[in-house]
Amino acid sequence: MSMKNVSGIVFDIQKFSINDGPGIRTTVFLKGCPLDCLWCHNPESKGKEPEISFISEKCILCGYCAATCPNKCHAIDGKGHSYDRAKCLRCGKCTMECYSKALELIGKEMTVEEVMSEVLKDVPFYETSNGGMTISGGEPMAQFQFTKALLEDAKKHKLHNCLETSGYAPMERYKEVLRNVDIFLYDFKESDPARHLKCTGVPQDIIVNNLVELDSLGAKSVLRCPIIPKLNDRKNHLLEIAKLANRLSNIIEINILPYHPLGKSKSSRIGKEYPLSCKEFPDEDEVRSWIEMVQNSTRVPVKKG
Amino acid sequence: MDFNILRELGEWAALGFYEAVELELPWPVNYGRAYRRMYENMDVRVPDGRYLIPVEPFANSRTRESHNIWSAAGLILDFNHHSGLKVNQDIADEKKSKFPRHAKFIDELCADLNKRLVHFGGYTHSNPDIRRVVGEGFLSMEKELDKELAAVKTLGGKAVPSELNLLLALKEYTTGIKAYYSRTLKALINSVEEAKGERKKKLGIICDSFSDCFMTKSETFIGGFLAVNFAWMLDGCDSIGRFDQALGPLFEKDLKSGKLDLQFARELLDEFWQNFERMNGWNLQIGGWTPDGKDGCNELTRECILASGRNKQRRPNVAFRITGSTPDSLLVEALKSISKGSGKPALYNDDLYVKSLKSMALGLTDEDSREIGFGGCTETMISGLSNVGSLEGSINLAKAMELAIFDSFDPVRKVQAGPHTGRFENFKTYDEFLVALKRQIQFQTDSFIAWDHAELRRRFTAGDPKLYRTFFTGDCVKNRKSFEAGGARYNWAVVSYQGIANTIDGAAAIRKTVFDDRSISAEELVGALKSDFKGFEKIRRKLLSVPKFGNDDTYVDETGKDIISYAWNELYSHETPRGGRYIPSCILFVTYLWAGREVVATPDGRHAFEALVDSVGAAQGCDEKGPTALLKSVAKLPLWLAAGTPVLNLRFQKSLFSSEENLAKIAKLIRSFFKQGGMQIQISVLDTKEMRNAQKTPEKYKDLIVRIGGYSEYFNVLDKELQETVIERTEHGL
Repeated sequence: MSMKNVSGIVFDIQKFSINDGPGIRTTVFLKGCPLDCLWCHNPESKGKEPEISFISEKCILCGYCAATCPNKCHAIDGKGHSYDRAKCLRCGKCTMECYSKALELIGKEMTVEEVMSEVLKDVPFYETSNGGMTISGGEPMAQFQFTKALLEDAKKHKLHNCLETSGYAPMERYKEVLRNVDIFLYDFKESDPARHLKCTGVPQDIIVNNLVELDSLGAKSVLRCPIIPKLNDRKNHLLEIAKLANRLSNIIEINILPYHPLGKSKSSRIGKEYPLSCKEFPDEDEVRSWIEMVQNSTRVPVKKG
Repeated sequence: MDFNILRELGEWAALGFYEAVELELPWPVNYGRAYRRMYENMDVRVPDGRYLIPVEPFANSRTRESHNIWSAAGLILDFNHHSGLKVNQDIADEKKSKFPRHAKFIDELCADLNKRLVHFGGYTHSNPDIRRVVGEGFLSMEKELDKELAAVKTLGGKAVPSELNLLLALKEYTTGIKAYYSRTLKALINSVEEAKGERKKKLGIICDSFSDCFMTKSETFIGGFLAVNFAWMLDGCDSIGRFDQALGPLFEKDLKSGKLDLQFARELLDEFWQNFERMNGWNLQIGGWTPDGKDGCNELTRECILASGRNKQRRPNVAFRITGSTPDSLLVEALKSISKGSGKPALYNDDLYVKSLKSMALGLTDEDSREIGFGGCTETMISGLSNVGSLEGSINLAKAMELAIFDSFDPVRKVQAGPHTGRFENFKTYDEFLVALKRQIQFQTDSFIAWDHAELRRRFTAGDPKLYRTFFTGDCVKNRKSFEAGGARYNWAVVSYQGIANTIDGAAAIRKTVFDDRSISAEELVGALKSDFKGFEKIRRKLLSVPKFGNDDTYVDETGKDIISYAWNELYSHETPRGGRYIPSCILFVTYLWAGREVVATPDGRHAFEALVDSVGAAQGCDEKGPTALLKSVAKLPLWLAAGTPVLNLRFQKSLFSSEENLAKIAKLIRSFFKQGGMQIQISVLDTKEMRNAQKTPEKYKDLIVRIGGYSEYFNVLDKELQETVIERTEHGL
């Protein structure tokens, strides 16, 4: 069966990705995620359906959106531009008229072929740098058929594939994509099960079990660990990261991802609250101490990601 | 002429010039005599804290910073590398207030000199042949001159007068240089005697080295360095050529034997770098193929890269020629220097440069094709062996497009400026418009060539024949022909193109809106451009929403490639009167500002009289898909043909350079661009100043991406508070 016409909801295709696996890569971000992490820096990736992003800083008050919107969601007056999300049906007509790109449709239905034609444009860069394609999200496994088809098609073009995943999906599905994934960029967010549930909204055991099983099947992995001050920067959690890595025989490295507050502005533009009180970059020395602490307990290389 | 007053004023070059007038010495011997008297008499200074002697001869030398004008002279009749001998009105005014009793004399002197000294259009950067200066020495070069002079003299009445006079002029020149050398050496000896402590020790090394270099072959690194510095001063502090190739072997030898103190060598390199800034010097090259086809990187190459990182300043423009065999470690070292803030060195695809120049009708031998040098901003030449008319001039493509839209009626000057190529409203297809556009480009090229030929020919028999360059450029003496008349071994002319992306984006916008989609009528477009979009804001929005060059968009890129290929081939088909071809380039220079003032609104959505795009890259802020897409779009243009250098600017945020892993990936990005046909790339690192600009004019920084770890976001969409945090982090290099 040709999978070229399978489609999914993509919210970004980012070229020159250099922190999502080896070499120069193109990262395909898929929409929709079953987790609900407090620190999520891509809140627009959470919902599965397309949504409208509004960045008031970019608005030039031209009023074309108001003239176009069938539901009269946009209004321009002396106070500026107001956007009534409750009435909005997310048809995206306003975004087509918005030259200044204050209004943008986040999430677009694309076929495998459409995505791949964009990804394949950068083959010369993958070749020189040993890079490739990374699928990220959201949670790519939440659009399983699409993810599977993308990985398969990329392999037909001999691309190196990375799959970034929260690990929260049925094991059978991972088994199905395993042979087309060169490296799993596998998130590990919280070692304490109760805290995990509280911070991400999902249980932790399935995630750890999947990782261990994938490793036993020979899957290469990079463990990606977001560290959020006051939430999971405990010594105990850092040691648990090393412990988990030590159980794996095909792990390549551990990435410590220090919290950054850039997701904050993204929340507001899709009309969501940012749940975290922490809004500052952690101190560089602090980040270094996290990395050292993990590195002291494992032979797996630990890097800032 | 009152020679006593000239002496009192310290006008040595003028003294020599009028001496020649009274003696009725023929052109260009009069120029030779002027240079001779200048060097026989001008000050020799050994200022405190400086070791690269001679330095600029006048304590009151002007700098760009203080006067927005540079002159390494304190003479009314002074010289600079591109004009040769010329009247310096600023110095004249200064001397008038210093010598009020001679004010009238000075006015008359200036008027008379202006009448006698002619200047022509065009500009010339060059590299003196420092390999010969270091490896052979001045006396050996002068011997060649003596031999030619003797040969011409034996011909008696049959000698070609222009040849004889040129060689006689050069003899005057070399006599002056020898006097200048001796006086410099004496000044150094005196200074060593007066100096104390550490300064005495270092100055002693300089003095010993100077006494043993320049005139004869240099045997030490410091001697070679001083010889190169001397040649650079004599050439008017322009561009120096393959610095690391001329001096690298001596550097490595002296370092190994323990003769050279690395710290002192670095101190001298820093002084040299600062002299480039101080003296408005231009270009310096490192790396690249050796004449026998090996990668030329040596220990001095690395030191030059480090010096570029230490000295965060405008100049020199350091050009790093990267071959397929250049070690990645050096490329990464270069990226580290760039990230420190100077943006230097700029990176060049040496393999493709050599191949391109060899494939052109320039008569290059294999060995010489590997001796690429750059002058000025980055005009391509053969180090020490060429006159490449850099820059001979520029061609404004946006203007050609404007004239194609207005049937040659220039809406700025309000005149019929060229051939009728049809009313825009009558074009039925894009191809019909394209024919008109190409005809305009051809007409513009032909007009430029005709003007330039006339200017260049006048230089053969009048004005300063550039005696310093005639002497220090390979084959001029042997050919008994001046640098200006085509005496150099290689000749071509580099011409810069302005508004490349404006033209590509404009053509794509016309093609799509007027002919493909029919969303804008021809009348609407013409009306919108004429009125600078006043009352046509919706038309402008439509034009702006057409995809732009720099995003790896096939439609736009192919539309552009067709036009740019045509323009560049059209220019390349012409020969210069000196020999060689006209070679296209796109070179960052202030001219793109002026060029914009000649053009009304353009169909890419640009407003009337705004600056044009200044490189082969995207219009500012229009490359929204990141660096790989930009590089791919650019590599679709026939860049090899624009071997004069197709400059590409790439901007990165500082944090991208934070890890070795990222540096290695940026190096691969560049290698990949080169593989695809990229010729040159200069990377600038966003500093806090630019981020402040981005806050003020966000529309010009739509492409500015902030990267924190693996996360990236457009700077513009961050709220003010986060922008401040990002700026603060940039400041601290996080």
